[in-house]
Amino acid sequence: MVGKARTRAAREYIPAAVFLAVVVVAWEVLVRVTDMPNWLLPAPLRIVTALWQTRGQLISHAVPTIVESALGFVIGVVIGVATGVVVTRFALFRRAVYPLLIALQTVPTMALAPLLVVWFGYGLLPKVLLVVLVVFYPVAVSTVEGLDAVDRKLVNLLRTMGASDLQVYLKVRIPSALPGIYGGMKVGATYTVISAIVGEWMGASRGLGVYLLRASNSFATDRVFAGILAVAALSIVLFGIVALSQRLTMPWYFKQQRQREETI
Amino acid sequence: MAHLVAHLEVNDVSKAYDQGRGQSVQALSNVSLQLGRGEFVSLVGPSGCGKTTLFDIIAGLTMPDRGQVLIDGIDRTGETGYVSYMPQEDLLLPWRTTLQNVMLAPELRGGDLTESRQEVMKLIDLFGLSGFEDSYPFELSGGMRQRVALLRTVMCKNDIMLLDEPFGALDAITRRDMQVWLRSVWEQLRITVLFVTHDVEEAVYLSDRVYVMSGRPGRIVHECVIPLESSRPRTITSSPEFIALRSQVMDALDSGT
Repeated sequence: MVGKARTRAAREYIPAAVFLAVVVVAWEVLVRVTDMPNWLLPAPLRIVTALWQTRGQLISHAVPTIVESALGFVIGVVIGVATGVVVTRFALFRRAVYPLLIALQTVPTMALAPLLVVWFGYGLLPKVLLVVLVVFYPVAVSTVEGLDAVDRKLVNLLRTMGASDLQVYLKVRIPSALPGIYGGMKVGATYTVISAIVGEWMGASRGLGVYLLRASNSFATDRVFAGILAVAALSIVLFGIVALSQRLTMPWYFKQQRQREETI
Repeated sequence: MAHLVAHLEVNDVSKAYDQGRGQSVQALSNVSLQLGRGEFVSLVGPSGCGKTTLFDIIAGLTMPDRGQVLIDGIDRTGETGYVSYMPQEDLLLPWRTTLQNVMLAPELRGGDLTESRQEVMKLIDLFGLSGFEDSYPFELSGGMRQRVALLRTVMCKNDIMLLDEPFGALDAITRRDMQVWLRSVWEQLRITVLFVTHDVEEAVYLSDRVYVMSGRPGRIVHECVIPLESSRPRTITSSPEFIALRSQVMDALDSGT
């Protein structure tokens, strides 16, 4: 069973891996044949070399970015879920807060970065706040939608069993909203690291954003690419953590999906 | 009835629903019924006769416009938690295994769960669920899901159970098996059961007494005692006595609509 699943997974990813390899080789060949200058477009091998040579620098710059991303993501998720619960629990909050929440979603959050610098300076706080804002919206909205979509009959059934409001949330509403909440978290996760980077561009002394700016200002384009690779790696790791925790907290969901796939 | 105070009594209940634009629909009209302790009573009626509304009122989920619900002679109108309610669909929580679904009511009550868990382990065999304790609902057949839902209802620990067409969604063969099984389980547990169905044969086979309801507005038009022996083999459905009872209920149903 496991071996079969593994070969199937391998078959699924092989085309993507082959395509990526072809692109990278073509890129390397193109740069060498046309003798492209490094500041314009460095060859993949050069980028990997830069990545290796500046690894110490990259790691020390990655630390503050990781701290900003992790703090902002966790706080954003907590506030987002809490807002969703409050909005669905109290009708007044829904009328007062929810329309505003939807309207504010159209404001590009990144545009708030300069404002955050004016208010909170150049320290850790404005970067974390920017990440919090970016994560908060999708999580809050998907939580409200998930909690609203609960089967009324399930809620009624629990009430006949004498369940309190809190128990209805813990046993039915939140578990049934979990797939949606994780969806919101995944959207938030993909924007988390880039928001921290944008926050750093507004003014910081360390961080991957600072590394990128310095490399770019000195036309060390191979290092810019190395920095971009590091940012992408962080994003993928964060996304992976969210996906993994979803698998751990919702085993039934994936079991059911797998069964559906097998019957198709 | 032998009992002075009925276990469950519905007293002159009426309910209308507002349809908007000043129009309203009378769902129930002066419905009264009594269930003795440990009695299995069915309620038969055409679709849309307000059976589900009546159940919502007995369960305390909906307030009637008029009338009361009495449990052991005490007015419990609009109060939840006194009767166990098994709705039409199984409504199992998809993220819980069989065991976890069944333990829902004890969990909500709080306190020590070991005793409840031991009781479940004893009952799980009677409910034909051994070997499926850790399966999720989507891994079970329709009949099994209904049995899990019924066991969950039993674990609510109320000695009155409302069953709303629990076998309505099952195929005919599974349905017959489930009827025989339910009757035998009830003989062991002796809970007071109010069973809603629009299948006359099902009602007569399962019950000690059958109430017949009319179409909208729902009223009780007939009451029929089923004097068959307590232990009922499936073959009883072809006995002349059974057939006579069935046509009696059928006639009441026809004249009420």
